[in-house]
Amino acid sequence: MKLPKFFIIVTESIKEKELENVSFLFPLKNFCVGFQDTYELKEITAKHSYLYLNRLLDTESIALLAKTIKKLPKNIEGIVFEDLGVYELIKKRKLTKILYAQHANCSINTINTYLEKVDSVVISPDITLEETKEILKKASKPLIVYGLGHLSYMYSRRYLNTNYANHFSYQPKQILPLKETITKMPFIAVENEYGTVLYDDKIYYAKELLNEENVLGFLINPFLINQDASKIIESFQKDELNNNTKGFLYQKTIKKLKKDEN
Amino acid sequence: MKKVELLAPAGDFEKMQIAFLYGADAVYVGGEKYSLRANAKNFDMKTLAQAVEYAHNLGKKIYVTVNIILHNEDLKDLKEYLLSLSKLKVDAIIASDIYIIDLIKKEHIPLIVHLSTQASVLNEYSAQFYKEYGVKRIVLAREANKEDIVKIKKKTKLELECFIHGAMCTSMSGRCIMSNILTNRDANRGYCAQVCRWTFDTAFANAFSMSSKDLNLIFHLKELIDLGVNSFKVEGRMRGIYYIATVILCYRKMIDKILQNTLTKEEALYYLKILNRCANRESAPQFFKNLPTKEDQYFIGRQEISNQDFLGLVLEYDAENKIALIEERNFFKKGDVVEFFGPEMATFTYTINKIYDETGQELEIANHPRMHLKLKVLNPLKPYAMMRLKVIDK
Repeated sequence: MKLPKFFIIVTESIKEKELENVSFLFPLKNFCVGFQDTYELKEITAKHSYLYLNRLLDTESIALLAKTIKKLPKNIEGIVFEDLGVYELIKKRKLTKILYAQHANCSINTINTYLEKVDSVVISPDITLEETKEILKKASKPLIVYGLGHLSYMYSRRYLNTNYANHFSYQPKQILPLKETITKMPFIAVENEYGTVLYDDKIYYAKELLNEENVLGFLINPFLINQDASKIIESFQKDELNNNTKGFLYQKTIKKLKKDEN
Repeated sequence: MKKVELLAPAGDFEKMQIAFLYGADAVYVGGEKYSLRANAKNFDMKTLAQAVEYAHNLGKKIYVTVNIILHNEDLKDLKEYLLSLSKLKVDAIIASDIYIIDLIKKEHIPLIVHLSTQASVLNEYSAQFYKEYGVKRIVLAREANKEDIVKIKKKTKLELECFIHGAMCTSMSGRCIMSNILTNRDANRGYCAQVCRWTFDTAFANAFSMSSKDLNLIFHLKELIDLGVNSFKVEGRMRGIYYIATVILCYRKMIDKILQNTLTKEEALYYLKILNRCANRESAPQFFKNLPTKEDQYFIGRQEISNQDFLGLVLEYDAENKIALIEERNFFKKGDVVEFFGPEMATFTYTINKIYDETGQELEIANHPRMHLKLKVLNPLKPYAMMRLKVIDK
């Protein structure tokens, strides 16, 4: 049986080491949001490393990025990016280009259009299991499936935790647990100097997709999960996670209420 | 004189008429499908055909939003829908999903594409990416600052459209599915439940809220024109005719005066007061100069203010007898001091001395919205002029 490949985002809890079928994604300093720890290029020494850039970049930031990645060490195999401007910067370079445009890669035709340019795409984990399977079946290149992690539901350029703390004269917190007042649904707001991300408090995992074809690998985001990489992969494969959610895998969203419900 | 476009929202045909009458150069509307305001009345194909004809007869433009994020189930009729829009000769579509943009290019569908703000373009490289797909105009991310606008314009020479007024998402546009998880309503397919206006409990005593104040760029309009922004966009396809009339008229007057170099700070401040009064939230310049702070948002959830300033819509004016037929919208009474405003007329103050119903019976108060009433008004009026409570002095 072919072993699945994993793309693991390197966070504080990950003790990066050589693991079979694992590539490490390093949140690059100045170009990520929603993480506590990011890495400078010189700190990235692991084999099979990727740069992970999940911000939308303004003019100043993309100019800094162009300078930062002008010369990359040989252990950097590729870049996972959110902003399509990054593709324009690296399109002629021999790097694996992976697009993770959050919430935007939801249809097979959208993904196949991007695949004419990039090497792979992370399928948005905002869609159902059935939709994901159809996409994997029809995609023109192997895709990355969001395998495990706290799902990100909102990304703002604003300093939401700081603004809240300043308004009420509290001590600002980089990580702020929240519960929606009526439903009591829990979230985690994580702020850094580039904005705020709201994560699901529960851990999403999509073990159902483990045996699907046309998967380049599974994206594992251990941020806020206090476990080692090998342990997380093991938990994922053995279905041993507590406080978990299936996100939208079995929950189709609605586009409009019927007329009589409106 | 430099030409810039004032672009208004139009949730239905009447709102489009009002927008054009009050000075919009173009409107953006949602069609039956693929639009991010699923709950607006929107335009079916027949109404859209009439709307295009109406707009073009006035020498104005109409853009159609096709700006959802596609799911597999949305793909089926997409090409036919785009072909139908091209046959209607709409002036452009507004899209963000790359497949829609690519389909138009590959299939040579004669449609001009404007890139939706949902794509959140903030830099020249990203703009260049879309330019290569044939996009003619970028609707900038609301987070774009002055430097971003300068660079994108200089490097790509694309047309730029900039939101200048209206509600803001707390998130980067398109990067939020809080509505999906909390209500199952798909935010990126037109059914956002505006969860960013809700509250959240924390370990602290006060609830957390992230509700943004609205956007206004009144004091940066001249700068934006000088930077080469081509189109100035007002948010609000769900808003009513009074809001559209008031906002579009204020911006029409300000833009024209800026182009003639005659807008004073006092006038701009007056328009700001008018705009703030008709909105249901406070407003701020948001990201243009600095990042927003605690002053640019609310902390106790929904903060909308109900406003009953809109008193009546002028239906007819009998110039000979100087009688205005008014459709009442909110309560008014004898003795109230009101203002009439409208296109191609100076706003004037008026004290209500006598109110008559349609049979000529004199009334003390008008308290039945949609009732037709008559007022003797010496200044001439035209249909679609509006009567509002006078609360702001120029």
